[in-house]
Amino acid sequence: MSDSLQEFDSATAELPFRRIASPAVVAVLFGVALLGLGLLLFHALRDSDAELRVHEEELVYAIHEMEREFGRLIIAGLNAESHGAVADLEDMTLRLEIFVSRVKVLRSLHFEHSFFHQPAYLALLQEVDRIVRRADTVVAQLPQLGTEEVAHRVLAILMPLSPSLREIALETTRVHKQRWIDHQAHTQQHLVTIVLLFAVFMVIVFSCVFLFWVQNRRLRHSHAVLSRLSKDLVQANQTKSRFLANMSHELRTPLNAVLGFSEIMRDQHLGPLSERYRSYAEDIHCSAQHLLELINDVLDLSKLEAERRELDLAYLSIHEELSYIARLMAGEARDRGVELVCGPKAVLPPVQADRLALRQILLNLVSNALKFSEAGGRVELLAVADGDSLRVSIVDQGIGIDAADLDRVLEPFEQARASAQRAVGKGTGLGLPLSKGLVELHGGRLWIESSREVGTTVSFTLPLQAQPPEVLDERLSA
Amino acid sequence: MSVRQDLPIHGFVALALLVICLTASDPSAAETLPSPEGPVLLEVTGAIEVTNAHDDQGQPLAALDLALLERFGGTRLETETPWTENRVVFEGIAGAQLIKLLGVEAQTAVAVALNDYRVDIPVSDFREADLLIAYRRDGDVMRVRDKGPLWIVFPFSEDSRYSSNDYLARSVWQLRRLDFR
Repeated sequence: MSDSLQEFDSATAELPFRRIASPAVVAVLFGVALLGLGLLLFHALRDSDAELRVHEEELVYAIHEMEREFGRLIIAGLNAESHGAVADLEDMTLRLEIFVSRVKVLRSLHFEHSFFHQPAYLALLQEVDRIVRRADTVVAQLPQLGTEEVAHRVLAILMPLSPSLREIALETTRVHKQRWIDHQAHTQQHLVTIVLLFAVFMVIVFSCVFLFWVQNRRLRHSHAVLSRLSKDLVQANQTKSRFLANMSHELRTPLNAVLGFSEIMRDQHLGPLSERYRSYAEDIHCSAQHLLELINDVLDLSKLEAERRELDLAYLSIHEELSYIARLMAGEARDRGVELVCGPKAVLPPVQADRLALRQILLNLVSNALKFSEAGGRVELLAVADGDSLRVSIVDQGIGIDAADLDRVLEPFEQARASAQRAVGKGTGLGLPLSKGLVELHGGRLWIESSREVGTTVSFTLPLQAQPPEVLDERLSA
Repeated sequence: MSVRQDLPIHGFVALALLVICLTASDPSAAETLPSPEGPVLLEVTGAIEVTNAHDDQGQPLAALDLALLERFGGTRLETETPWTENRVVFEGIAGAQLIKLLGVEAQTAVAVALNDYRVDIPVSDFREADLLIAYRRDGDVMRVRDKGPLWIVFPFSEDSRYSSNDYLARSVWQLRRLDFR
């Protein structure tokens, strides 16, 4: 048993350490991981803003369309210049119109993009506007100048625009491409971070699961140790109780002989004895009687502890029982010069209890009260219906019990201080624990209130029909 | 009908001539759709029954100038567009009207713009989707530099589906030719 105790000790000692395996830390880590993940995802989503990308592509398209139409305009201009036909000039003016429409489209694109704020771009747009105005003026002078001259002048006006348009088209493509590459790299980076975070997250989750598993295993182990220990303890206690019950029974038989013969000698039934012998015989008789009481109490207590005491329940009038006890103890009270008062007059509801057990309880408590009362004192028996239970109190004005001893006196083989005990006579020390056990077997409760030199009140309760029948049955069969 | 009235009375000859005329089919079409007098704004080719001209390869086509468009059109549409600041009033020939006028028997129209931009438009858009080939904007004809002279528009303000990418792509400006297939 000591082995299993040691095992149990080591198991419990390690438990708190494992419990600190910190749900708090895990939760914080988890929260941080989730937050980071959310922020990253938000960032990534915002970066890949589809609308911005579409706008950017529109910009690139518009610039290239403009440049392309410029090229077609130049070809039409060259054509008109070399042929001088009216149809060719009309074609050139149409191309000029289309080119202007493309410029307008480019100007109509409004969105936040650093490209629009480049001085080169802004300057170019202004330059295009200026050149278009000049070309318009020349075209308007067609009647005076003739087709070839108009075409020649328009070409002269437009040609310088060609390299800058080409440059801006290439530049836009470059910017767009670079942005796209940056975006890809950025996304890649985010993706890697997200994957890493997920990995950390998974590691945390797996650690949690592992820790949980370990803890669970430890708990199961210590649970097994505990239940084995508890079973051992119960068995040990029962063995002890059985031993006590058997021993007590065996001790009573020889004791009867001692009691009988010492009584014959004390009462000098077989002829006179010297006063000395007679006094010895009386001592023997008294001691044997005390021993018998002790053995009886031990027997009762062992039965209680071995859960072999069975109750024979009946409806009893508490008033009758208290009066019976008062009558029974009247002689001893008189001898001690103590007034014994049976309090309850009111009609109380009947209690369901074992008559013998109830009398045993009352006898123990009243004789204790008388024993610890001094001559001229008073012992009162009270009973009160209190809700769903009946409370019985035995009140004395005796020497009282120290607060420190209150718990101890309810333990078997314990008595209040030896000095106090010696002053008032002998007791088995088993009366109170026995009474407590019997009360609890009935489903009640026993407690002591006491103060030094004022007196002691021992109270117990018995349930008034409040116990559900099945619980009662359980107790009975136990 | 009128052909038969103008011809000599001899039945057989009349019938033979009628067959020839119907096979050629030009005269009757020319009568329903007059030839354009002003500059041609829209050429319609492909699976159409009514034509009034031929292209360089001798293929029949319907050539429409502003006067013809106004004669058969006149449909008004007030709407916002993604390309204009405010609400604008377009005036043009409704898609359904054009289909009826030219006897279109096709599934798809290829719309070609002045800059050779081209897009397929389902003929169902002409019949059902309130497609409008606009020639006037806020009462004025449109210059080429202002997306004219013809602009395919839809009632953008009425139905959000016209703001989808497909319909924005079909909103051809500087429209020059429709080829029904």
